[in-house]
Amino acid sequence: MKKSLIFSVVIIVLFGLKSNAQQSLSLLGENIYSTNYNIGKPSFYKWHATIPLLSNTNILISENLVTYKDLIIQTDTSKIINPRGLLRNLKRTTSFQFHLNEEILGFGFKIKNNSYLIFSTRLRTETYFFFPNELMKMFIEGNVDYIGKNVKSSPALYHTSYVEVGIGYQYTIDKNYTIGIRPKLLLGITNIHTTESEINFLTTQNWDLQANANVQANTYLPFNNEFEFQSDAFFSGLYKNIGMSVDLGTNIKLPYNLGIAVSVNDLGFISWKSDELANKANFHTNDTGSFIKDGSINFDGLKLTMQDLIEGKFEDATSFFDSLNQDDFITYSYDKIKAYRSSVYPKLYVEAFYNLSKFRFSILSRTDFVGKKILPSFTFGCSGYFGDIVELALSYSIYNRTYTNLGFGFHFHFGPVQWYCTFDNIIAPLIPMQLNNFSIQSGLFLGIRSKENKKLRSSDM
Amino acid sequence: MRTKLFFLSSLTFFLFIFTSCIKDDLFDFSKVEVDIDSKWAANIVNVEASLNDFNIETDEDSEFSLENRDNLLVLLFNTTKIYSLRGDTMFRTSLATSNINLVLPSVSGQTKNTKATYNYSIDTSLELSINGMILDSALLKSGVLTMNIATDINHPYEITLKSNNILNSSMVPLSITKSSTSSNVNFTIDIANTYIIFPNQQNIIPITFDVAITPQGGSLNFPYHIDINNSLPSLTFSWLHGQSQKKTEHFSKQLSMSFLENTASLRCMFKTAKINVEVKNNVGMPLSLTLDTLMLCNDIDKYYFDLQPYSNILAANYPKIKGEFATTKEEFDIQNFKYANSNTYIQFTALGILNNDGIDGNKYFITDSARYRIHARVEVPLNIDLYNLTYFDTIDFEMDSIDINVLDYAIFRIEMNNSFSFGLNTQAYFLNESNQIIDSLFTPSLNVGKASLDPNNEYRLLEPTSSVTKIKVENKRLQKIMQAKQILLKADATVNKNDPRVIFYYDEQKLKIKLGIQTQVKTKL
Repeated sequence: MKKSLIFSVVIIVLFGLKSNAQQSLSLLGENIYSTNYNIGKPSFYKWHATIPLLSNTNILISENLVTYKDLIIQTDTSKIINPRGLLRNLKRTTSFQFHLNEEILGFGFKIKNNSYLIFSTRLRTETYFFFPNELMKMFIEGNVDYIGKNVKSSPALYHTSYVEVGIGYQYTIDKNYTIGIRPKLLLGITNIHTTESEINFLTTQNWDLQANANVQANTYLPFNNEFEFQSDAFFSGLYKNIGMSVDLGTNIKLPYNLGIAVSVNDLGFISWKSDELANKANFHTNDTGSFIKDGSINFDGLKLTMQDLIEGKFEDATSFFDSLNQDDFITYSYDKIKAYRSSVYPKLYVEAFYNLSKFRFSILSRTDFVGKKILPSFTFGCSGYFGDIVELALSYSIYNRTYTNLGFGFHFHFGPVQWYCTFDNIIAPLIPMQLNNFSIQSGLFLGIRSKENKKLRSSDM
Repeated sequence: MRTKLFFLSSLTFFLFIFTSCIKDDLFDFSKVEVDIDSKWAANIVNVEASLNDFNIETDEDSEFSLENRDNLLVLLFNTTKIYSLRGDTMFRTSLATSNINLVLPSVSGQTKNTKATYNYSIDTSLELSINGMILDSALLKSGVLTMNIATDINHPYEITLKSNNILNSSMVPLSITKSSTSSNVNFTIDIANTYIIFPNQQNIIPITFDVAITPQGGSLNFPYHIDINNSLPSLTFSWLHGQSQKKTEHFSKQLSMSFLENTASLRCMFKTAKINVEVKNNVGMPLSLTLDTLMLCNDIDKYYFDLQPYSNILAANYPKIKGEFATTKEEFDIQNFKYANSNTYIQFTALGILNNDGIDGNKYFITDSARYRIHARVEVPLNIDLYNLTYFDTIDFEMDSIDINVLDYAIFRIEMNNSFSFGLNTQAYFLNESNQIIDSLFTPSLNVGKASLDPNNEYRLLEPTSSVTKIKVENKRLQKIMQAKQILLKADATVNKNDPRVIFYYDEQKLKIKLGIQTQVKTKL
């Protein structure tokens, strides 16, 4: 009764905090794919094998700028889009993220009593777009509060899709300490890597306006500079973009039913070497027109001379916009380059857990390193095994600076058939007015527990 | 078991609660408005005024310009011009001879023979009538010479009109032949671009008629007669060359020195000035001007300055080549004259005399468009005592497209930077459609002090004066201003009477004005 009460309190508290969840799968201790988060997390299987394309599909769509509730005000007669509703979210980094992970083929087996070998081939796509927060905030509020301040924004796009072939090995010492390593061969498919990004907007104390932009990115996309699909170059280039990365992890059980787990994933790079598709995209402003100087818009009022006044020649605002509309004010180039290297996006996981009866309570920290940006997230979770058939997990996560992520996951164990499904934000479809994120991870695979793990409890994991 | 039931029932409960929150019209965006609430500030006008801006043109027809001479600005006026009459109105030409009667005499010394050909060559002439000129040569510009010939010749005949003194544009002498069997034959000759040579200084053009009669049966009835009627209407010339009589013409005109009279009021004392009277002549004859009056006049200050001795004669050059101008200048120095931009002029009265010696054997030319013109070029170093300087102008102010209801307020920011040696008292008036003042921007008017100059260094600029003024306009006043159609800008120079001397230097002396507006826009789109 006491345990049930504690569990209920946890559920209510999590709901009360507008809870959401993140990476719920990592809380399902039995699931072999939790090793995708920490290769040092011990496997309880004697062997496992995937069903091609059905065993692990993971889709994550996340943004932290707009929610229906923030942006839309409902009146009796119409809906009002209120850009000021975004101001609160714009105070800190905002981004859009899209992640797709599909296991093509995988299997693993136990070696002796304390080692497990995992082979895995996955198709992965990770996309991060960072909004120009400061600029958007200024355009919503107007520039009056920014007089004398340079508004600098650095929007950036990072995208990589690749095939990952990895061989993982984990070793358990005295049932309490497990370490793992997974070197991976990467075959790059597409990439966008922002190398420079700066947009400045300054309203001087004299109310002059100055703005400039400089954005550069390396890309590897199956298009030429006229955005025509280049099938031959694309398919022939699939084996040229070789990369390497590694996952490292450990899981340590401490006294008093405590434990910690630490892992670093995707530490590596891809060299994009197909010179037919490797390009540098460049976007910047130039000196053109009467209101442009040193590559910056330099608007200190429509210019009039005394002679203009005498002759009755007055410019109107269109002359300013005409100046900006000149084709050569904004230079966009998309030029071939021989090769470049981009990193994949490393993640650091740190987990502390506590086993209480058949439940396991976790605090999980995940940090994504994307370009020069760091994206932290936290998950509070609880998992438990019920009737040796199903393991359930409930989580609340704060990630991408969203706070309404209540996650739920299950893993059914039907003999050798393992079926699981997790949602990092299970209530998202039900509260569309506050929807930021959608994430699902599901699959079906075969796995036979080892003898010593026939009867599992979450507290054993 | 109880734990499982509790968990499942809790989950079901919350799913039910959240699901019920979704309304049917949540994603109905058929009526959407965008709420705009932002505060913006920007400069809208940036004026930089310097005296150099007054350079309207620099070609010879400009009325007013400024030049930098050793860092001292010099004001240049080209006054309005006086033109003489054109050459084609001074000298009119026409065909004087209108009828020629010729007789073909009987054949002497031979028998009338119906199988022979009888040839005659008869010299005669055409005479041009021209007032006051004995011609050597001319280039005719247009006209059609018509010769209608009537004869009693009763056999086939040929008539050839010839003249070595009438040349086409390729310098080929005139020769035209007509054949006829009737009693009438016509010559029609386009004399455009035809050269005429007058060999006898009597405006006479020698011509020859060659007549050939070829009898074909019937009797020969000598003597035969030929009557020729000539006409040459609308005769014009490109140029004439010869001796001309004396031609005179009276001039009397005010050569205006006004500028910006509709937008500025300037009164000052110019310390020194030079006035060049300039005669540009492309009449190819000697020209002299007897000057009756050459006086600088300022009716506002009742100031008059006589520039020259009475009855001064100005001999002007003349060009030796057709189409060119010969320029003659006479310079007059003046000191301390009072100038008012709206009513200062040079009174010019003179008698123009072309070819003063008349027909004396000397030969000259005149083209049809030849004329001489007189104007004055006034150079004034801008080292002046300034009494009054006011600039005023109107600017269109079209704010109809702005919904004033969306503007909560407007703050006008005026930044002025003055590097002139006089202060400025400025006001902007808002005018309605009837040009009536409905409001003024500054209360009181905006004053900007004079710049700091260095009297020990030719009054060069030490430091400009800056001023920033903000004016907040709200509600009803804002609505009133937005209804204006024009803005009248008025700037008065505030002159220090104790130190009125003003010296203008190139580039340094400017007035910069920035007009910015800050407003909070509240609207729904």
